[in-house]
Amino acid sequence: MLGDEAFRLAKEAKNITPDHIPPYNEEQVRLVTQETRYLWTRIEEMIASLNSAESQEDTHMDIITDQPDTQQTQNSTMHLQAGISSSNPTLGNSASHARSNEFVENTNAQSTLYLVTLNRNKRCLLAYHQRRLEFVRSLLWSLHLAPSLVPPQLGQKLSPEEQSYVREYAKLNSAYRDAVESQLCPNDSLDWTANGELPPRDMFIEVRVIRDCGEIVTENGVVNLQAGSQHYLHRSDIEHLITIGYLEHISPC
Amino acid sequence: MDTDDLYSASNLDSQLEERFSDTHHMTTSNAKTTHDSEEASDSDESSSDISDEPEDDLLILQRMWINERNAPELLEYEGAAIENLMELVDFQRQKIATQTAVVANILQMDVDRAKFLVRSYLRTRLDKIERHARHYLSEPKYRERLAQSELDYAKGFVELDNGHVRRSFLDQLPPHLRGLEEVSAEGLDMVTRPDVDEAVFCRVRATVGEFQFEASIIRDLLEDGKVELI
Repeated sequence: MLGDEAFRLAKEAKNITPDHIPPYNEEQVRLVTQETRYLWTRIEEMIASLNSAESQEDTHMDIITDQPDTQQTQNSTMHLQAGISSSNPTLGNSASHARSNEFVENTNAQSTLYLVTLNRNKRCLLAYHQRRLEFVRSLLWSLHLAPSLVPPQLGQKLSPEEQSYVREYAKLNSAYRDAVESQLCPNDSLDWTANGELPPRDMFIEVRVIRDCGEIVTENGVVNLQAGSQHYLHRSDIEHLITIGYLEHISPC
Repeated sequence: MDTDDLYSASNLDSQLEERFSDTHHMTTSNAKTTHDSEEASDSDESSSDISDEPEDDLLILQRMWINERNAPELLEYEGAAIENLMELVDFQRQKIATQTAVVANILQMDVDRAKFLVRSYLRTRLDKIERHARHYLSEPKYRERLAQSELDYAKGFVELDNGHVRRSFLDQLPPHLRGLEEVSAEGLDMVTRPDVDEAVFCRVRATVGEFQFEASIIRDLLEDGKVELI
């Protein structure tokens, strides 16, 4: 049915939650764009047939004169609607006029419906892609804006375009960070990788290792971070590891 | 161990304050961030009018940070305060190198917290910019509020977004359906805008007097610095 494909896409967009994303549905996107293109050619046909009906009837209404290709969609909707409202009273009551009147009305109604569907399809497509991008962005922020950290099973679910978006987005952010740092603190870093949610409270924190990180060098020497072990370390030394989920902060209370 | 002393001996604080009186104002004002803005409501500054003497950059930034986080739209970029604050941080950082371990730790903490504030402030703005990038770019009023780096970011973001949508499906649609900034027949706008009529909580900083309540009045007062958001 008309608009069903777009509805399915919209439903899929709704299924995206902060920790789940369905694979990119290329097939569905293709179906919707296909339907949209088909509807557009139908509308073009209809307008052409209306125009020819007009010239045959030689009535004095000028409903649609422009060629469809040069029009904006909104314009043609308005033209069509204007056509509907103006076509009623002016026509005479001869049989052929009544028939053509009916034809014009039908065609107008149908093409209006198609136009509305066209716009709806586009909206659904945009919403679907937008939702996915929102997911990708929040994922990237939680990964510290490093595209290489995107887990492979998630990476498979993204379309090639989305994967290149990931890289470009990370690039955009690092460019911003460089610009800010060079302006504000040329000889220092702003510690972008540190936790952004809460202000730092303690110099040293207790952490549990979730995934092996190997050995890291701190101010007080080398620490071996083995999975399962617990350490009491300088916050700034290991904060980035907490952000990407290798360590877990054990809060004292 | 140094660190144990740091946490157990609370009297250490007072000793330190004496020894580093020049850093004192920074430490105490920093502490206020954690205790949240509510505490400030019964402190001296709220009841009286805004004083004429120049404010501490950290305080300005703290207020702007809270305002920014609570306002639905993008506010003025507080560039001067950030720059001054980062200069202070740089100065403090150089000082750390010459101090003993315990003191250096505390100063480092102070620096870290100031950096956090700057980071969070910038991040909040980026988030807002991403949400309504097209709107902020198209209106000169908002465009002026962006820092140069933010302007570049917003432009890059919109470009990236448009490029992605175009490559994904838009190029396969009929040519005149490819617009991204149009208003539909039902009045739906494709460019999202912040809801500036959203309700906010605010604290009055300077006496304004009585006024007829209109939706945008708080916005004007906020821009004048007469109220702050909480």
